[in-house]
Amino acid sequence: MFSRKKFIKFVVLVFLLVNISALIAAGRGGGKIQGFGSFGLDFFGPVQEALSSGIGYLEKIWQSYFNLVYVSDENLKLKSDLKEFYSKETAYKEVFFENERLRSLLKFSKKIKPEYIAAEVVGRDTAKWFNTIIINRGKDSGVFVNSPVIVPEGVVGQVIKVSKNYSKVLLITDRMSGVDCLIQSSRGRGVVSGTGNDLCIFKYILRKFDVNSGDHVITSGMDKIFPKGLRVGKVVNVKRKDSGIFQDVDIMPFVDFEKLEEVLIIITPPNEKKDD
Amino acid sequence: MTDILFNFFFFSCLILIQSFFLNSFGFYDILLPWIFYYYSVSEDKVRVFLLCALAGYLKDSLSGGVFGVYISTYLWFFLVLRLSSFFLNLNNRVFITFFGVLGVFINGFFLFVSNYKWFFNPVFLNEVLNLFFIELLCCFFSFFLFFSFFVKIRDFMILIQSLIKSKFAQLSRI
Repeated sequence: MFSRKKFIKFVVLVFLLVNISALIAAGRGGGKIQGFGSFGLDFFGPVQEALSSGIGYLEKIWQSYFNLVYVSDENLKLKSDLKEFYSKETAYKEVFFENERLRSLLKFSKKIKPEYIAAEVVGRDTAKWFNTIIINRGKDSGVFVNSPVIVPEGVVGQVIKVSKNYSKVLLITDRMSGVDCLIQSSRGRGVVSGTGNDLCIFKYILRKFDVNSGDHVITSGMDKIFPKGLRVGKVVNVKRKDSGIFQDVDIMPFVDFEKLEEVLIIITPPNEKKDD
Repeated sequence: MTDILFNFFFFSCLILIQSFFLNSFGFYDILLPWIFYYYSVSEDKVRVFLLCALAGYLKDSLSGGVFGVYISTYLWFFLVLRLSSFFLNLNNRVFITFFGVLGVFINGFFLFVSNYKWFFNPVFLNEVLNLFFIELLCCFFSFFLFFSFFVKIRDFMILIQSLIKSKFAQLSRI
């Protein structure tokens, strides 16, 4: 009925359609298929770890040599900064204790302090299409999918794949990323989404909220992934269109993702994070 | 067996090089030339097919994209090479450049299919198209201009592989 050529063409076409459908289906689910890639993470993880520590060591030698030139200037600047932070810390402590007293007066539930573990960045994505990093902590250390990853400067991203000893973290600058956030001053709420480059965009923020360049953006805690109040970035550009209910806001993350070496992972499961 | 181990080691090194040094430049996938090389030097095409699948699996597990993009890319690239080798000369500069560019197109196709949501955002679309054209240009120029360099590398790899084989043979005799 069919010639051999036609049969081969038919089979190839069927395979192509099945392949495309499977990828579309996987893409709809956010591409988070668990289990499949964990062997690869465990396989390449140790090699990447050894390589990155070797490269890091060489970089540190190089940098420490050049840094010597700037050390004295930097020392003076840090001393003056420290004086300013001492006075700020005293003010923050007062506000903190006042807040604790008021919370107990209002009988608010006590906030559970999240548990952190430190991890080293051992690898990056193999292509520029996606912004992910690989860290040397996995299931054995208590890391789970969606664990928030932070550094003292701000939010880094969230874990999307976990193997025994390694995890893959989706950075907030990735196009697939979304973090529920607030403008710290005006309390306007929206979603910070990555663009694939250094900047992020703050989506779905209503026009009624006053947003200005320099405003800080923090996590809202409403996505049940990131705890409330983590620093995310600074507003760098605001565009208010004549029509529409939202405004376009560009954000520069506080974290320098190119220089990321160590991160902190919050390992308190989401069901233990109590809200006010 | 040495052939499999050598190529496994070779593509693993390429994956590591790409993840450490080339990811920030938007360079094209350097495993595509490896598939081309392995296809042209190996007589056992089933072995090439299996190693391509393994390379795709490992690359997918390190990538932040949808699982299956690289397995699909490498297997379809292998299939295109297999079908074309019956009537095209795979040692010609123009054809090799054409296949390199075709590999980038196949990769781009599966990336766009799995991340079709990029098409609904003009900012994303603009950026990913720019990235895609950079990959295409890198691929075109590196294949076309450094063709003779690639041939030399291929000859060098064949030499290393034969040396390893002979060493293994000596060891097994001992």
